Amino acid sequence: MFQHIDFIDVTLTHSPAIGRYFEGARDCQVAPSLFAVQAQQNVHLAYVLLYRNQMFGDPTYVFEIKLTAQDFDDRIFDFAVERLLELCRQHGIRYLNKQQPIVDQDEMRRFQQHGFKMNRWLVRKTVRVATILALFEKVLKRFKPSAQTLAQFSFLPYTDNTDALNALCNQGFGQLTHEHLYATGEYPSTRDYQFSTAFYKGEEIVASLGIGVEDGCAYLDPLNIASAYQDTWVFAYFIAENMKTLLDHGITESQIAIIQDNQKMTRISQKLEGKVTSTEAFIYQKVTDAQE
Amino acid sequence: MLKSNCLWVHLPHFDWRLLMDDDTSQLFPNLLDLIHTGTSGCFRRSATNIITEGILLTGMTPEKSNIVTAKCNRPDGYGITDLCRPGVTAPFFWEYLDAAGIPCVAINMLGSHFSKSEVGLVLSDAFCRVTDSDADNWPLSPGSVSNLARTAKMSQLRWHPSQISEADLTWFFNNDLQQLQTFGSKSLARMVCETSSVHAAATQAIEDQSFVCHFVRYTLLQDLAFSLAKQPLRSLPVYRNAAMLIDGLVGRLVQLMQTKTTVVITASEPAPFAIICADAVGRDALFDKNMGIYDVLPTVARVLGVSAAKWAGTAYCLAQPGSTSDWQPDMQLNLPQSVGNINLDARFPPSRTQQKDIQGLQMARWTTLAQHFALMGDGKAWEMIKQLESEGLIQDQLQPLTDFVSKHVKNPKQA
Repeated sequence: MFQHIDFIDVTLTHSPAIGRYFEGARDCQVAPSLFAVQAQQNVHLAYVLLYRNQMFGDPTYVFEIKLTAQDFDDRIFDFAVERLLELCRQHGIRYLNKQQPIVDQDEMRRFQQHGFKMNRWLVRKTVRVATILALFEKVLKRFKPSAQTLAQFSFLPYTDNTDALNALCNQGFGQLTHEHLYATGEYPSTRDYQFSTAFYKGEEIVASLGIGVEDGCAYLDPLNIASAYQDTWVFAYFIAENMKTLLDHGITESQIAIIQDNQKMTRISQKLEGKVTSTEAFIYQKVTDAQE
Repeated sequence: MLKSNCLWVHLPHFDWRLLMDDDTSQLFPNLLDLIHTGTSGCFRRSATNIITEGILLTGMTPEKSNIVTAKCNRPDGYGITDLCRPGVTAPFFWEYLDAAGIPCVAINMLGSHFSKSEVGLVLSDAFCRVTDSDADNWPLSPGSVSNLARTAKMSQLRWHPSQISEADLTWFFNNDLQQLQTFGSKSLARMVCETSSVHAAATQAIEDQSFVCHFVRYTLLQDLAFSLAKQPLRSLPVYRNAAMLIDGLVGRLVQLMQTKTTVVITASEPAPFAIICADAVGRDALFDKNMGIYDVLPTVARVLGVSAAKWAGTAYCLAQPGSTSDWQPDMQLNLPQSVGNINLDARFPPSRTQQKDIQGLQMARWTTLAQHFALMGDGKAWEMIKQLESEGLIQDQLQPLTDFVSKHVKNPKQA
């Protein structure tokens, strides 16, 4: 069907397409490049976004692929990935991460065929809010803080001190996560983030939780908690109080996201009943290995 | 074809007074020789280095080229980024030539990242930028080379700070190690390496003999000026020695070019100047007193035998008295089709932080344009101040700018 498809740099002519096809590009720190699989002049079958994660220091590049045609064609996908890897070799790019995690098993298999490996995975699970509350109330029975201690702490809206929250998020995740940027109101969202809270000891921020509500379900972001408070009563108390607020407003269902390498959260999620809705894999490739 | 090959070297922050002062001019034999064999002169300041470079290399006003500040709106609509090709709205001179099928090489030119070349080679201003501490793991930024077939060869020419030692750098401080350490040997190593990479690439490009026109930009002096802000640069040994090095690099490039080459040297700060040398160009002559920076590109193009309708300036004749050369352009250059983005709307609005960045950039742009128009004696300077007022800047904040503009252009309100 396509006799002469090509892989070309279209950053100069089509960069506004980045906004159309790659929502995640809004958070990238370095100006992205855009490549297209072109069948004929201005007929683009796929776009590939490629950018350096950070301008200096970390030489990791991040990519994403979007096929523009509705009918998924493996040959177009294979062609785009092969040419992307070739481009990386030409530029001496050795570390390549896919921007968005993969949900689809077929897609995972296709990437694996091109030498990509999984470095971690993320599980999304629906859990009843009451179940989460019950679990943490049980924990709190053993570590209940005194009224005097509690008096030093306060809840504030998530958006009250964005700079401090950004710092906490950077500490915990090494970057401002997509979810965090929505919760701070940086980007517009269809979800209602009014239940997102931050927990302070005096002026010092100790924990924060982004909660976006949509269709009666609370989507809980990964918890941000200062390292000094991770194994204290703050962890259980902060989550329990947030769950109480949700229940008070008639929100009974939630969805949580657990990253595989967070062993503590993985253990907790195992104790929570609920249903896994998706398992998403983050993939990477050491491009030089593929060359060898 | 062009009347001759061309070498155009841009030297941001090379101080013209170093070449005019009898005490220092002998330190720069190569540039001095070009002055003696060509036509030269300095021009009125145009506000900033970036604006001047934009005018020199696009021939357009900063408003039209969008070359005003070091940052530009990101092409995907999500905020701002370093000035790069998608953010520049006018063609550079080499892009006109490229579109006409004349092979050019552009090395380290301002705002050239993501540029595309059909018949030549572009190594953008990100090509030589040292971004990694490890020379063996220093990827090329995608978009920094066009076309890709030459990538592997050219990337090997780059210099990395790990390849030079402190001992190599003390020369810049007249062998005073302490002064080097006070300045920061790592910073200087980075600057020297970036300039060395540019020179290595330029040398290779000339030796390849594949290109008709060569555009090269050495930024060592600009980097030093940035680091030594507000110090009297001209008298500093590091600046003077760096200028001597640049003179040597220019001399080497000129030597490598074949005879009958048009050589153009330009600089943009503190005072813009140009030197144009070609066979039929007047020797040891000065530009017409009415010539300004807008006229440099059309004049160079005229020397090369080409012209384009879009340029803002006038093409001056630099012919030697009695020259029989035909000074009428042989070729009309057309606007390259590759310039200008297609109109696709970005689906997502910028974040709050990005909106602030965009607003800040817009303010910086109006401020810089106000300074530029004032220096050019153009009443548009007051329109820029009006824009700043409409953005909510109060009189106290605007006062220094208003005072500056008042010195150069009459306020229409008062008139």
